[in-house]
Amino acid sequence: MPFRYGLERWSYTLQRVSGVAITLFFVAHIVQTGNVVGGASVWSIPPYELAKKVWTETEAFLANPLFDLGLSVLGFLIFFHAFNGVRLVLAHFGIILKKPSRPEYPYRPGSMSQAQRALFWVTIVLAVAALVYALDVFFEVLRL
Amino acid sequence: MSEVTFKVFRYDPAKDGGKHYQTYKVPLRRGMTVLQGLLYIKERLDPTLAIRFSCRMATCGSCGMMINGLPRLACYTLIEDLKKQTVVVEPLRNYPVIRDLVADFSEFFEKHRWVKPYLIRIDTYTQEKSNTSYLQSDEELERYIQFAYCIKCGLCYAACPVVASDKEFLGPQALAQLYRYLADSRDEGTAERLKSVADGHKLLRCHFAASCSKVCPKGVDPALAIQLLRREVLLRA
Amino acid sequence: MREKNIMLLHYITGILILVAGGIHLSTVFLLSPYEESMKFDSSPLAVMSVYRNVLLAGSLEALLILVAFHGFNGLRVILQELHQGKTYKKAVSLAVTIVALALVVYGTRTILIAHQLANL
Repeated sequence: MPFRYGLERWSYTLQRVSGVAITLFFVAHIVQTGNVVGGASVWSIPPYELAKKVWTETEAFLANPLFDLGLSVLGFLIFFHAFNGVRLVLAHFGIILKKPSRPEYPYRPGSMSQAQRALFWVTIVLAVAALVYALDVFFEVLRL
Repeated sequence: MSEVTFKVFRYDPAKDGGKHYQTYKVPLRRGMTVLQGLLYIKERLDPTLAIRFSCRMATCGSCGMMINGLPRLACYTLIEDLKKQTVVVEPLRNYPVIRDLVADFSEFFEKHRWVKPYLIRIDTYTQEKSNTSYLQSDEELERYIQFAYCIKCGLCYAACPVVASDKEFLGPQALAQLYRYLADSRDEGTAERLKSVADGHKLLRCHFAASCSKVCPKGVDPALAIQLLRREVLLRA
Repeated sequence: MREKNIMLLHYITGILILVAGGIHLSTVFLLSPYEESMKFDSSPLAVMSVYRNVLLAGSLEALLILVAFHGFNGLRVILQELHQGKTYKKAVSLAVTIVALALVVYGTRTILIAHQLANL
């Protein structure tokens, strides 16, 4: 199990997992919001009363605290994926990495630079902040 | 004097093809390396053990193997540093196994050859026949010399998560060598090199997991080479 | 050449999603208390009223297209890494494109209908 390969390996794993999770949520979200205006069979504007009825029904279905918890975790994943993505774009273009230099023992790889690792921790902090905010919105833990 | 237990992966396709681990008790001296332990097993306990080694000083790249779950050079790993009573030794991951701890490096070398690891000059006659020297300043040298320290030990290839599942991906060693020649001011094959990896899985499937740089025993930092190469490919090719 | 261009697009859409997604999250969570936003009435701060404004509906449409591309391209990359082969590669690319296009069409329909509903 790849637990001891360093920070960047953890970042790669989480980025992938969060990406897949967000894409699955995206599909569910499009389907759900589509249902609210009448479902796949409706292609022109439905009667106002029907739309309002479907909306309230959907809202009742989604009021489940399990969905709220899921959305909070998703908030963490979205913020992680987004800010880690920014860090990855910078790293992939070599901007926050060190320049190549002669290797001196003990080797400190330029790709594992402090700038790049600091950005990872910033990402974690922001993602946890998003999680806490979402938990507060749904469960009122801090009453911000 | 204390003892340490070696749990060694055994596999012999010529005999029965069964994969199993065999335990040996090896007396421990201070400063003993895993390679010395394996050679003790080979000399005193079990001569049928197959291992690859040569220089015993981390310069030939022969003795790469999975030691307690991470790819390391056996000659470069002190048993004391592992801080465990049992040393689990297995052949390098992501390579086919020939026998016991010996891995098949043919695909690894094939990918290395594919990137054309030599200087490409437009004027090949001058390159091969005459006595001209190619001048290079210190700054130009610094741009690639780090990646020239590669000993082709294959540890990076074993650590890479993409190599584990994607056969088309060139792997950190080959890509680092591609960049080493690209960044060399004496090389004139830039366009050709960039074009060769601009499409397909060869370069662009690297996701910067940086496991390669973590395990490299010579500080070559292939992850850095690949990101710099990616920058050139995406912005220039 | 092609894979390099797809990856460049992947990076660019990722950055643009930060902007469009920021707008979407702000309208849902920051403009008003969450319970208020989720009401169906045409109160000025409700989610439905977002669709009334052409610019906001447009940014939502942009978000839809960008996320569909970025997400399904990501899925394509992951699936194509797990197994190699010419037919498998083509099948994955095709399947991913079809599902992404279908979602974009369906989502656009939702935005158009909601825009008309909100403007009643």
